[in-house]
Amino acid sequence: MKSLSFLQSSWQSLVLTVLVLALLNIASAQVRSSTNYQLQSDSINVGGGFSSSTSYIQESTVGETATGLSASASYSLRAGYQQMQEVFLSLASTGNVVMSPNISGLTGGLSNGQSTFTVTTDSPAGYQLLVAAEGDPAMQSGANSIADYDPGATPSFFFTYGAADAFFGFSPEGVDIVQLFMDDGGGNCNVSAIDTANACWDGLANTSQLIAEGSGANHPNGATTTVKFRTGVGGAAGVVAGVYVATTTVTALPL
Amino acid sequence: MRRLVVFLLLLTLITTPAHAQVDFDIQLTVTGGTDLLPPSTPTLTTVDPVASTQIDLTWTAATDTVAVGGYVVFRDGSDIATTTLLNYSDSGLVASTTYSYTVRAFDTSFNYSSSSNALATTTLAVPVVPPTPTSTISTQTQGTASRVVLDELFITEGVSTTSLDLTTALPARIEVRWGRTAAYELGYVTSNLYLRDHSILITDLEPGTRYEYEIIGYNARDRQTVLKSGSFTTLSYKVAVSPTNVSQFVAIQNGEDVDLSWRLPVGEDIAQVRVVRSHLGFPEFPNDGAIAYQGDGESVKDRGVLGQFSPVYYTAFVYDQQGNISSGAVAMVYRSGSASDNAESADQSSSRETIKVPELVPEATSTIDKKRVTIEMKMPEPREVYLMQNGKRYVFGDNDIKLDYSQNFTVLVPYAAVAGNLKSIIVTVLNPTNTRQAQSFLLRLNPDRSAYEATVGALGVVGRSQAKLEIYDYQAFVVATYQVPISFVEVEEETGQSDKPIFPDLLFEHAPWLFGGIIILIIFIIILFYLIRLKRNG
Repeated sequence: MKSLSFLQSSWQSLVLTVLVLALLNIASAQVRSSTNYQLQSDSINVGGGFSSSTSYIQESTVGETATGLSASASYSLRAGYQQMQEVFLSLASTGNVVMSPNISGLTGGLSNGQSTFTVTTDSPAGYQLLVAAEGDPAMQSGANSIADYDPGATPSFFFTYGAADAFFGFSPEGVDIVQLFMDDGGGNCNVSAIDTANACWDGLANTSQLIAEGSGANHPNGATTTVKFRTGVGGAAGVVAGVYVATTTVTALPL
Repeated sequence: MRRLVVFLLLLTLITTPAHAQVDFDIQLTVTGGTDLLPPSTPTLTTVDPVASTQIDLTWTAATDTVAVGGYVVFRDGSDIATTTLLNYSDSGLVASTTYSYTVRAFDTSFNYSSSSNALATTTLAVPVVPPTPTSTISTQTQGTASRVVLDELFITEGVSTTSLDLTTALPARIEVRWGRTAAYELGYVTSNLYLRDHSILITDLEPGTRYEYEIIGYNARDRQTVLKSGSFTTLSYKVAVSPTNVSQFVAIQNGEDVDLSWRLPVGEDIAQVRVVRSHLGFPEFPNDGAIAYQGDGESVKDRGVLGQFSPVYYTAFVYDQQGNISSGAVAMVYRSGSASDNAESADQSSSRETIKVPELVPEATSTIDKKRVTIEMKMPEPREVYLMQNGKRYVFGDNDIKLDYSQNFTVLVPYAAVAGNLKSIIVTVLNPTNTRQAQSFLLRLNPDRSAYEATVGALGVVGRSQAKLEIYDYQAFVVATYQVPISFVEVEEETGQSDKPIFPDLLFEHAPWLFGGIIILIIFIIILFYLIRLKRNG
């Protein structure tokens, strides 16, 4: 009788163990994942299904939950089949930029940084990507500032500065950059259609400036634009020591 | 219904299109601050005519809010010299002529003080040399009133050099002659300045060899006296060890001038640094170009060179107290219209003897330009290019090289592994904290002639780096390149404890299925005992 009770207990223990392990496994379950996204559930509904003909496959759902508008600074999401009347557009970035190396105010030097922006949209007309600084000039530290790079109407192929100069500028690179930042590979910007690395520099104004433009839908992969930032300080520029910050806004608009 | 239609139309009109926006900060740190304040004005204290062609000046030190960079000496309103010292000997003057001097100080930001007080003096008259009975140099006094007297003499022998440091009772010009016999047939050095303290370096000597020397002093009236004659013997190869090179050797354009700076090796008996300049290529040895600097400082301004040549090549050699010479740290600078990015300038230049900052690569690589390498030009295999530190030896084929950031290391290529008719071998090491900066060094044949090597001073920072070794042919083209990733790390003292993982890390690392099984068994046993106890109680 005792051995029967032991076997019964063992069986119950085994069942409970399997349940505990299953629960542990459920806690980390997911439908799809990548390094950037985790898709926990692809559809939550109580009815509907696929119907098909020789030309179409249609899926309908009934009683969907978790639908409606969700928005953040980076995303605007309308979930649910009936929500897809507006265009979808998302903007992902690599966030804040710390320029490197530090620059000695006594000897001057060059410092660089960059940020990447990925725009994903299903807008058939494409999108626009704009950049604007909050301050004028963009790079400020309390009462001190570093002048915006000023090449004139057209960006300059090389980022140059004299011994008495200190400038902060940017240069976009990517598949959708606008003509203004394209070059001929030979030292001229706003000509031809070459996107030479580290070329065509402009100042970061406090009014929105168009840097990239897509002409069609690009989902699901999106289009990436890398914006490079550069500060050059001459040895006699007299830049005061401090942490200089350029608060910047990048906006993606559907067309 | 009509109201609903109107509402929906209005809603459609006022609805703005969807957009996404990102706010972020771009941050830049400027260190050191600016220095717009000039240093204080120095006071010119003495201007002494010590000869018919020389006037000696002294002045008081200036002060600055950051640091005094040096002094500019003006003669009759024109700048004639820059120095970090508080004295200067102006030579090559005309006898019986009056000159006026002022001095200005400048700081490390090149802010200049106002001019000091002006002092004027007149050089001595041309001496009337009495006829001498013979043409040979006499050891007797020629005019006892101004005879040059030797106070002190120190001779320091090296392997291929010997330095003579001497002091005379009065300012004098010195000439040193030397040879293997008392005919002093090998060479002579003459100083143009009338000084009391002299330091003369004799180079290109044979190791372990006895040399005869003679020191002659010239007084202010150019009368000569043999001060000392004797012999010295250079050191043999076996005791010779090449000193460590200077670190952070950089040449930066400043108009037509070049600002050179470097850091002396720490903890070594350094005698001096000699910076040699050439527009033909990196100077290979201390006499292979014009001397831009010699002394124990860490910076100098080489004036006006970019007005004549571009690029300009520099090599800094370190001399230790025994006269041994380091392999040489190298730097180059271009003339350009503005102080734009040097790296970009370098990219646009010719590929001949151009130092380019290497890029981080994940694994060791090597390339040989087969078009330029002929059969007789032997090139080393990657496993024949060594990195050595603290008795440990790595090769350029390794992919996991970890060096102690606080220790010197040596880059070495065996003499037999590379053809002897090549121009130069240069190793470039990336700055671990700033991958846009690098420092480069020449590899020279070591004293025992077994290998080409360069000793690099401790970098002092941790991080990932890259070493690139380039071999140049006689036309100064790169014929072989070897790159290897290096990690500069903090090496802890040996404690006797193993770095190997211990239980349960060991079990998890090597048998994760066994680890999981044990966990499941433990859960099973806990539940089993819990149920048995529950049944007993209930």
